[in-house]
Amino acid sequence: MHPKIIEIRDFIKGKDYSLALRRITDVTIDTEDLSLFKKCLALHDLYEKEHKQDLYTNFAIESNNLLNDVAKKLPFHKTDAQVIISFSKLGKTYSKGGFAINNIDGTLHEGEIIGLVGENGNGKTTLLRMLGGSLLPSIGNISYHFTKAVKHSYQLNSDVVFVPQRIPSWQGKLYDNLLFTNSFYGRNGETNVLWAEMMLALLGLRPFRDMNWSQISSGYKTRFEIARVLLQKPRMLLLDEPLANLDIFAQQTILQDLKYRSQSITAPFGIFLSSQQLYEVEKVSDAVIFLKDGVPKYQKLSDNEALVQVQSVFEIEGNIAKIALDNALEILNPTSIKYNGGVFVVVFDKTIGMNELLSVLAKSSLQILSIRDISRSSRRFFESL
Amino acid sequence: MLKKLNKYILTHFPLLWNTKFIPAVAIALLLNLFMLLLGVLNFSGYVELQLYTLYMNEQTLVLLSIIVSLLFFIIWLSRYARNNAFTNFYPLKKGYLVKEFLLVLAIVLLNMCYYFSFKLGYFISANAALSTKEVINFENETNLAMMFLPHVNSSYEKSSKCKLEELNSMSESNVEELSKRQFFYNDNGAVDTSLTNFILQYEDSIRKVFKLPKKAKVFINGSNFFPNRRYGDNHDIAIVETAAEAAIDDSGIKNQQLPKQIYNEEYSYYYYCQQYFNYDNIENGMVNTRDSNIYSRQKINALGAQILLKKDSLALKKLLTNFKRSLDKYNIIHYFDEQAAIKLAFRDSIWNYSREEFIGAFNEYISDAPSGDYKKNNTGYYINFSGLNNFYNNIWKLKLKFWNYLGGVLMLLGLLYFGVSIAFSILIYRLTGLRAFLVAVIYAGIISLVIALFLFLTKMVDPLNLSWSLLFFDGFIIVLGLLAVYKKFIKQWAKVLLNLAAVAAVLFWILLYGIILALSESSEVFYNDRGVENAFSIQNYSNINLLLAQNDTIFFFILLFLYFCTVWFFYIPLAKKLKGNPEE
Repeated sequence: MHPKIIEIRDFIKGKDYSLALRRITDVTIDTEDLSLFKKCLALHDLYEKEHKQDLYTNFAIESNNLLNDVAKKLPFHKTDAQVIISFSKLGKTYSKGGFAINNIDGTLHEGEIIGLVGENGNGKTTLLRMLGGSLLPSIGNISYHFTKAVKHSYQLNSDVVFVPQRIPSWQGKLYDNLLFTNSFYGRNGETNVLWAEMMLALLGLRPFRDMNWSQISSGYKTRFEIARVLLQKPRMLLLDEPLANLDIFAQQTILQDLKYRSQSITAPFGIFLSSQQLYEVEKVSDAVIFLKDGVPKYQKLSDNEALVQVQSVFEIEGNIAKIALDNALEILNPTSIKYNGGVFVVVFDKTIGMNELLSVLAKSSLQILSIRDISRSSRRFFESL
Repeated sequence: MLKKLNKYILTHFPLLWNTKFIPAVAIALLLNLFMLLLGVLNFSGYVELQLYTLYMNEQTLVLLSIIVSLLFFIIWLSRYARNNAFTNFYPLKKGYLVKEFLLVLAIVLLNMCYYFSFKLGYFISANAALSTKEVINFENETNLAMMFLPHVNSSYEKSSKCKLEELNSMSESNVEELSKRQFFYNDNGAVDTSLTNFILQYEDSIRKVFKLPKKAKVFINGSNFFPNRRYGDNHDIAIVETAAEAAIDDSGIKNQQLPKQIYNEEYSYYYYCQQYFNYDNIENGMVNTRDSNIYSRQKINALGAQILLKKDSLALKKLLTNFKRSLDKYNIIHYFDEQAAIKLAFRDSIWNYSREEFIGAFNEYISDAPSGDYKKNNTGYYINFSGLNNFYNNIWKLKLKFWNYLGGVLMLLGLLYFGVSIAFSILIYRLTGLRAFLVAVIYAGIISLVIALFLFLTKMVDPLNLSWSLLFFDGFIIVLGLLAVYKKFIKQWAKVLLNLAAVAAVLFWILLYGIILALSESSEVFYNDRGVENAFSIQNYSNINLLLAQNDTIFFFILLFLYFCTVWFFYIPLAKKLKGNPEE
């Protein structure tokens, strides 16, 4: 049985029905089987009905039944993730303003997410546009490893989808727009409708299908745009600040769902994601590129072995005075303690870990609200440490 | 129901849904039907047929049509722009662009036809006012009655007498020579009337040469060409079979022999040899397709002579009474006493009026007749001749040249050319985006102002120089547009210039053809203000001149084809390439 099916059964056992339903929807989409699509949509209806009564008896049974059917259809083959794009020495210089980004290297595989972080105006969108083929780099090479894609062409733009920070308004009924998109991918009649319904279900948009663009919030606009681009079966998705309009809960669910979708069994794709929500990005990204004044710093997150930690960095938040913190941590011989926007950033030698720090702070009388180890986070790049 | 239909079209025929083809076509058809009905209702009856031109509110109609078209376009385009496959780089199947172009073209063309729908409705209504049989009866009545209602003294001159005897005595060998002669315009561009008359007078002889039955009719066949048909227009002699005999009631005056006695007096009813309605005069170049049911001048002459010889007052009274009744029926203002006319006709077949008296009497009436006050003059009658003429001309145009009256093939081609250009502009706007299109519209306005200023400052009034100047501007914009894409201007500017160049291409081919045609057909353009001959000159009746002038429809097709190829194989791929190109 496919590991994804086993994982979903665990969710059902653990009574995390909401997550289970999202994952069931995702794997059902992978089957591309219309009869299973119908069953999945019926399961959504059942969930909504039982959710009101907080009783999921039938839902659990039907979910397992559907999973059995899906498991039969789901192709079980594990292949190595293909490279989608590779780029080296990439740079762009603007004649006006003198801004430049330089020497950016990277490789994106199927099912991977690379996060782009950095302060405003440091070249995140410029990099995304270069990768998407809508902006010509001044130097460097980009290689697209699609089967059909041609450099800088209409075809390339069909396979690489760029979702801008300010999403252009949709006109007319939202649902009609999804059906229209579907029609360009060989989905006609009932097939078209079922694909659109599945994507709405996946992103929790079913209640909004008959609304117009002006009737939904910014967060739902982002979700609808993601639903539309997912219907395009992209090879690479470039998301520019997609989290800006989402609430804290939606940020995580959307990103996790996207990550899951990118690892589709039948149509995997890669994602470049730019955001200011550093921790949320890091949770789903395989690597992070931090850009400051156009200069990149790299942080690989998926491979712990590859990470070479040179020092320990912690964020400490609390109702405390700096002098009190200095005194409390003196014993651990910190390299630096800086106060930055409501939190203290404390740097130690790499031998000092979270346990040592907690031990010292527990003995002090300081009112600590939170401590975060950012030694392996690109958060530390934001500080002049 | 509508929602289900909308969903069905969207999921099965997305392009139809995207272009809003079904509602757009339905609304455009309804609007056309409305305009057609408006046209039908706008025809107010026989009085209107007496006007010089049939429809007098042309400007209002054009304005109304433009307003309706613009409103339609704005609403339709706002709906059409809601979804654009090019904006999101959706993969396009082979033939998608062709289908989209054809659907847009159909909508555009339907939306450009309001003026013609109105006109069609109006013409249908006017055409239905009289049947062909009624027109022929009325024409025969009029032509015969006019013989006894003197109005132009020259028609009654001895010298104008139909030479029937001479015709009958002509040998066939003489007529064979005639058949080989060509029919030309004279140096002033006017029809050579002597030849026209010659052919008309000797049509019986021509008939003999061609061994045609007696009822066969000889007529002159012409053709039009754009933009005017003054020069180089050749006519052929063609043959048509006749229909049934005339429907006029001429019992009692048939089968009479012509008088052998030839009167010596200068004016006489006997000499009358005219068709008051002469179809040749309707419009320069109109085809002479007089129905054979209409009496020829010889027959009128013969019938009139028979009435006079027999002093057949009953036949004449019947004729004049019928004529008067017809004038009443068609609301043609008249005043005449048929009894007085009969007395005058039979008092003496030789006319006693002097030439001066007749003309004086006629003119006196005309000059003294205020509007609505129809005084009796010396001749004892009045008929609104201009109204009668217009009535006749208008109704025959509608009967015989309905299609040409609507505009003809060239109008259709012009409409198609314009429709194709709008459809292409819409397609290029869809590819390059709304912003580039709107900026292009603004710049087109600015360029127009620059050209207008240039023409004002140079005081350029000569059409040919004007065309050359416009061609120059046009070519400049096209070259700039192409350079913008090839040399990778800033992407947004390249898009703007491509939009402009696509519009410029519409004018380019028309201007080029127009200039060549102007060179070929007008001798004046060979000279400038100082009388110096220009470098380019195409002589009248040269091979090139004839080729251009005689094949205007074919050339217009070629223009349309060239324009189509320019945009389809050049501009659309460029626009698509530009869409995929990265910004610098």
